[in-house]
Amino acid sequence: MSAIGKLGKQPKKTMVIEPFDDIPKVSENFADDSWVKLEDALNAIITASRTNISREELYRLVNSICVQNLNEWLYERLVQKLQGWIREEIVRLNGIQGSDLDFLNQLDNKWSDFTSQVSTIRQIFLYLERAYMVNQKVNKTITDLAYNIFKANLIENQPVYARMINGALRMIYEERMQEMDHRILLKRIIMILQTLVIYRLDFEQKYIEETDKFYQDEGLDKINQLSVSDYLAYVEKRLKDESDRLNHYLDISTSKPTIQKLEIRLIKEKAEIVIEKGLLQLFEAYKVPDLQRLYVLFKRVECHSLIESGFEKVLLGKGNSIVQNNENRESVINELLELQSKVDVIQSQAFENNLKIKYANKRAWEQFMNSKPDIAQLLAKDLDEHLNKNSKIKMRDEEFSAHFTSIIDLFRHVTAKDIFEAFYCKKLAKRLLLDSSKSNEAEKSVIALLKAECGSTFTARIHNMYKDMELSHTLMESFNQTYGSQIERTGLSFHVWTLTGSVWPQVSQVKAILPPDLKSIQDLYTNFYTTNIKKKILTWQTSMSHCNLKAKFNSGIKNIQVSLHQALILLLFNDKNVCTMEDIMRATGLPEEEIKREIIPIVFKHKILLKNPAGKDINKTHQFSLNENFSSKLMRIKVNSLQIKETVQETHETIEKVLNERQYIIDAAIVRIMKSRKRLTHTQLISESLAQLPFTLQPVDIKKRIENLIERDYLSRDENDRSIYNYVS
Amino acid sequence: MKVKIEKWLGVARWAWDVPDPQCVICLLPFESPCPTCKNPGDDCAPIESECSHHFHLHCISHWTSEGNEKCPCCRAVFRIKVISSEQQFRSARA
Ligand SMILES: [Zn+2]
Ligand SMILES: [Zn+2]
Ligand SMILES: [Zn+2]
Repeated sequence: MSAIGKLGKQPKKTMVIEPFDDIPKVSENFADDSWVKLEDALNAIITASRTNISREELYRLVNSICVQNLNEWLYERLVQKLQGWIREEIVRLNGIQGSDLDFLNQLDNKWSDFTSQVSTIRQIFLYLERAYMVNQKVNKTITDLAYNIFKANLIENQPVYARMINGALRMIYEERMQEMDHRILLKRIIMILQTLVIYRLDFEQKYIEETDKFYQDEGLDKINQLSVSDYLAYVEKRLKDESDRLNHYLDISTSKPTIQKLEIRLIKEKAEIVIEKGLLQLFEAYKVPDLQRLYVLFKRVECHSLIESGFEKVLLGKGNSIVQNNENRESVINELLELQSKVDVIQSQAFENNLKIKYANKRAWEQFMNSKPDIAQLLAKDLDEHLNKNSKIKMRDEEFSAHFTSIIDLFRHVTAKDIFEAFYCKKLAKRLLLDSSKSNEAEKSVIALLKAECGSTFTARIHNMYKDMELSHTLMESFNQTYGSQIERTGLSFHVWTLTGSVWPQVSQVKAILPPDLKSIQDLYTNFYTTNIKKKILTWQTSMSHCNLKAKFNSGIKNIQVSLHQALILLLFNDKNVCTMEDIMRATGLPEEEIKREIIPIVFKHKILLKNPAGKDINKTHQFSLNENFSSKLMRIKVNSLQIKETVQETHETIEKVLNERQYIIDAAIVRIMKSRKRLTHTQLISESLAQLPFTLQPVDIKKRIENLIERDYLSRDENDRSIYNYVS
Repeated sequence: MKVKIEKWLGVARWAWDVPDPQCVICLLPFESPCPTCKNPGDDCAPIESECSHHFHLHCISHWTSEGNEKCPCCRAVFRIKVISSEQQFRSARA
């Protein structure tokens, strides 16, 4: 509602104007005499004293003057009277001593007297207003007339005027500084400004400027003094304070520009410092409500992009410090999981799942997750630890499946998917062949997750491993049809896992010498396989093979589950009471390191063999003998060989193999591109190849393969331009 | 006899007994299937021609289906030397 509108909306006094039956007789001095009476009455209203003349009579007097066509004459006198009175009132305001608060209180009182006085005067002069002013004058009502005279005198009297406006601003300042409550007074003062239509003219702009200045100063102080967390709370409070103020006593038009000033001074101008100084701090302290506050405030001023880049930087720092930490590789995955779950909560609860922030997050993860080559391997290892029934990890089923999902979320950022796959398959191979998988259901759920993440090509190898397991049973049935009874006579139960060489991970190629009875059984199967299946050769993997033994001790017979290599070692003690390390090496054909790995748990953990001399170290001359006094509460003893643990060399070989396989993939991609394009420049071929290949590569890797393909006559260099390749068909 | 093996779980791997390391058509090693297949093994076996060259079964079928009658390696007339080992295996079991 505008101030002008307010002028017209004075409380309506309904006065019935009754027509006279006959025009009263008028004496010559009637008008002058009447004015004397009216002036008396006006003086009484002004001084708040009593008169003897009734309102009705006064009204009739005005009426009588007007009907004699003396409207203008009466109007002039009234204006003159009001002018004199109001001028004096303003002068009196000028004389008010004391504080701004005193002044404003008195001004408020004065104004409220003034409005009721004007209203009384209007009642008396209502006929003049209706009959004359409405049609002929700028000020169409007595109220307008009086207020405009007030306004003109006020503006003319600069000290009073300035004191009024500055006083109001001063009170607001006090409210801001000391939280003193002047709301009721200020609401009334602002109302005067609005009524006199000087709010826009001389107050609003000043108010906005003062606000701007105030928050420029205070914002600067606060950002320096407060922690970012407190600063954000401060900004939020100030925005609320100011909008309460605006709602309570300021004009609605002031709201937007004022809040904008606050937003600029407190948020926009401080945004970079807040991000620089506080984002990491809030993130590390995991202050989700503060981060949410930050997001909401930044969103108001469209400063999201600062959060994007800031958040990316923070995550990159955190991620790199986890990934690059060489001291404790064991905990890397758990730390990454923790980081991931924190980030998830912050993104959904603080950042409203903002897409651009999500992209920034993704960029950071993609960078640090690929900054160390062993992350893929560690992820595969973690899955194995959770899928292996020998693991000590205790979780409920739903915790396992949540864990698997989180691991796949981490895996998503890794580009070396082939390295992950190699290690995953290696671990899976062990789980399948050693029958150490916790549950088939859990295995299938992880495979399903991997398939959903990377597609069925990615999991094809895993499926082929499972297929081999089944096919092995079929082969075994067929083998037993012919040789089953022959095997049975040896008193040994025999099963062979026949694996597709290219599907299953490579393992160490150590070859053990088998005792004659085992060797003949193995040859029987080899013979069966190669005579039935042409064009395939079979290689035995003794290092992946397993046995159940029956061993006789003084305390009785025990079942012992061991690796084939361990079994070969233990079998030696049937013929000899004491074997040296050298004897074992000679008899089994195994290298020293392999024997150590296999014998350590037998000697130190289970004490099935005794070592002479005692002590942790083992050398070639040390002697071993069967511990006849071995005893155990268990009937069935499981000897975990160290074989289950990945050796450094094995790890190296696994990675080497992946890199080798990449060569074929690169070759195939280059040839495919050249076959369809026939002729390409070096740069074009490199960039097209890089775009097609699924793993991160350097151009030099491709260049090497191009040179190799030229040597093998798949491509040739152009005779005229050596930087152009032609496809050789 | 103090120690006796009761049960033995042996592990053996098979590989193609092929002198060429890779298929000349698709450049992939025979341990891998041809580019159109997912699974290595009998479904995508190497095939030997009468001229003693080796190809993935699918690679050479595609080659001949395009109207080629000669070996992509030596240009001799192409003829398959042996039937696939999968079929042999099946017939041996039957
Ligand atoms: Zn091929
Ligand atoms: Zn194929
Ligand atoms: Zn040929």
